[in-house]
Amino acid sequence: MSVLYAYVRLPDFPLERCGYSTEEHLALWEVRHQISKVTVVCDALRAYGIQPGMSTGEARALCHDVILVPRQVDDEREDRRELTRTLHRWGDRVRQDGDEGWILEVGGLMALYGGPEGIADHLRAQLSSLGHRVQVALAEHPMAARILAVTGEPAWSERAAADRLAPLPLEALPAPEHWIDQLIAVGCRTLGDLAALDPASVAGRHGPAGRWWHQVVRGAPGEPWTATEDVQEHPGVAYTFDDEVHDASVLLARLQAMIEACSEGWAHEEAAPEALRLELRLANGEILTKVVRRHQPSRSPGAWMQLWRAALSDGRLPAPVLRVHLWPVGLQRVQSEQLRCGERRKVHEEVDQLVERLRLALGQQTCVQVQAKEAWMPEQRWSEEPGSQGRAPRRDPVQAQEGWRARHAPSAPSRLRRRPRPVQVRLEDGRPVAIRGPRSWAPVQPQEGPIHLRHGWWTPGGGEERCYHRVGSHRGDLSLYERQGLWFHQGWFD
Amino acid sequence: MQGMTSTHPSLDELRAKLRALQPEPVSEVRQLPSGWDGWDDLMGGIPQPALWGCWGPSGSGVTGVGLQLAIQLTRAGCKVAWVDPLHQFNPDRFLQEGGAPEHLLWVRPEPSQVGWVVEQLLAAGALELVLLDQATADRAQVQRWQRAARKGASSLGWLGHRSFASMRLWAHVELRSGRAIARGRGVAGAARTVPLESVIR
Repeated sequence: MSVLYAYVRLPDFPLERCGYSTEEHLALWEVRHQISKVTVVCDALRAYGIQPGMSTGEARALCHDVILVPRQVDDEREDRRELTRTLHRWGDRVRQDGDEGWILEVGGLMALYGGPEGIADHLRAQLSSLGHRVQVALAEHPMAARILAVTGEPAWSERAAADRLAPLPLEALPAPEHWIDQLIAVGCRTLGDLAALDPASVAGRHGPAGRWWHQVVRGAPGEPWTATEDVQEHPGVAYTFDDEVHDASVLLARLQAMIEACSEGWAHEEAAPEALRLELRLANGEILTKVVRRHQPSRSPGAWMQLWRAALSDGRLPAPVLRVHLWPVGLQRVQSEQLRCGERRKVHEEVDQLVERLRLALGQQTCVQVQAKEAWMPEQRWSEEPGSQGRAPRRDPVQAQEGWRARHAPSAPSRLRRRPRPVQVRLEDGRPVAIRGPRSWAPVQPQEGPIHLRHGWWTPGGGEERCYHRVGSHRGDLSLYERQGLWFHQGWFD
Repeated sequence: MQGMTSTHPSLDELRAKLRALQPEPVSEVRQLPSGWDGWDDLMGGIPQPALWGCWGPSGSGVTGVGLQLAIQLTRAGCKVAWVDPLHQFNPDRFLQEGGAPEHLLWVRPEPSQVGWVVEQLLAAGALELVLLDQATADRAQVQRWQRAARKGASSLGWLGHRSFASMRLWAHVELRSGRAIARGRGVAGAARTVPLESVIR
C-alpha cells in the first residue's frame, strides 16, 4: 500500500482549549446581530436542551449553573495553527480540514509505527496527551478517512475502504444536500447503494463532482500529496461553502468579507501584506491556487478587491468550489515607531515632570504619592503627600513589645471605602449573622473577629477602642466591618 | 465507539506538555519578570509593551493580584502607577505587605478623565507598569492605549469584574472556580491554567 491517509478529528477542540473539561457545564458565546448567542455547547449541556444558536439568557434559564465564556475566534484559529505545527512533526504532508479536522498522508510511516493500527494509536496517544478527545481513522482516500472518523467507525480494518463505507447511511457523505436528496429519490439509502450505481450514469447525471464522490465510496485511492508549506508563514482565513459555488461573483462576495475580516486584524497588528494568496478546493478534488500582489503593502479591502476582480474577471471557474482559503504573504510593519525586540525603553518624560503635568491638569489631589507613618489606627498609617506627615506620633509604651502589632492588627482590605458606611447588623453571640442590604436582610458568615484595637489607654482620656470583624457575604466575597458603637462597612478583600 | 479516548485526568500536566511541544509566540513584546513565581508561571512576567487584563467576579482576588504585582515591582525598584477612579485603593494594605511607596504613584482621576490619564502615563515611558482598577473603556480608547504603550514601552494591567475578552488585549487572566486561566495572543498555545492559590496570597 503506497498511499494512506489519516484523518484526525478533535470534536471538542473549542471547549478543551479554554482549559475546561468536557464534563463541566460550559458554553461558548459570540455576539451575532447584537445578540449574545451560544455557539459551542458541551455534551453535558445538550442534555439540558441547550443548543447552539440559543441566546445566553435562554441557556441560563435552562441550566442555572452554566459557565458562559466568550468565544475568541482569533485565538482559537491561532491554537489550531499551533496544533497543525505539532502535527507537522509527523511529516510534511499535513492539511487542516475545517474547524476540527486534520488530514495526514502517512503511507511512508507504516514501517516506522508497525502498520496502520500503530499509526492510529500513536496519533491518538499524542493528541490525548495534549488534553484533547480524539477520533482517528485511516483509509486510502482522505475523504473516506474523514467519513469514517466523523461517523466513529474503527480507526483501521483490513477490509477494503469500500466495504467499510458500504453500511454507512447516505447522510454520512459531506456532499451538497440537494445531491443527497436526488440520490435518496432514486432509492439510494447507504453508501454501498451509491457505490453499486453505474459510474457512467452517475457522471452523466451528476457531472464531475458526482463522479468524484462515486469514486470515493467505491474505495478509489487518493492522489499522493506534495509537501505542504510551513503553516507559520500562512496565517489566513478559510471558509467552507454550504453548497457548491459555480459563479465567480459569489466567490468574490465571500472574498470581500474575508479580506475585510483580515484587514481588521492587520490594523490591530499595525501590519499590511504585500500579496494575498488564495487556495480554492474544487469539487473534483483539485486545489487551485491564485496570488495577487501589490507594489507596496496595503490593508485596504477595496484595493485588494480591485486586484481580485481583475484576476477572476472571466467569471468562469474550472469546477465548482467547495472551500476557499486566503493567506496574507509578506506581512510588514507599517508604523515606524514600532519598537523592535530588545530595544531599550524610551523614556519621554521623567516621573516628576509627569506628576507635575498631571497635577496641573487634574488638580493637586489627583496624583499623589504615599508615605508610611508610624501609627496605631489603620487610617493613620500613611499620608498622601511626601513631607506632610505632620507631628510625629507620641511614643507608644507597648512598642517595645516585639510583634504586638503584627499579631493583633487586622489585615487590611484591598479596597477601601472613601468613608466607612454605617450599616445595620443582626448579631448572634456578639458576631454578625445578617446585614441589612438596600432591600432586605442578607445572611453573612463571620470569618474572623472580633479583633480589638485599642490605643492611648495610657492617656488621661482613656484613648480609643475599636473592634473589627471579617465577614463573608452569601456571594462569597469578604468584607471588613468595624464596630464603634454603630457598625460600619470599611472595605472589601478583593 | 472506537477511535476515541477520554480526557487525561491531570489537565495541568498535559497543558505543560503542550507548552513544551509548542514554540514560544513570535512577538516584539518582552516579558519583565515580576519577581512573583505564581504570576510568572502563568503569564511569563509583565508583558511590555502590551495591554493585559485580569478579571473575575467580586471577591475573586482581582485587586489582590494587582496589589501583589505593585508590591513586587516597587520592591524591585520599578515604577508603578495605580489608577483608581473609584477612590478605593487602600495604601495601608500596600504598606502592610511591604510595598515600596516611593515607587508608587496613586492617581485618582474622575471616571471621564481615565482615558486621557492612562494614555499619558503609558506614553511617558517612565513607568514599568500602569494598573487600572475598575474602569470601562471602548475599543477606540483601548487602541489609543495600545499606541501609547508602544510609544512608552509600558505595560497596562486592567483589573475588573467583567470580561475583557472583546477588547483584544495581549493576554487576559480570568479568576474563576478556584483557577486562574490565562488566554490570549501572548499566551503560547492553549489556555494556561493554574490553581488560584498560586496567584493569590
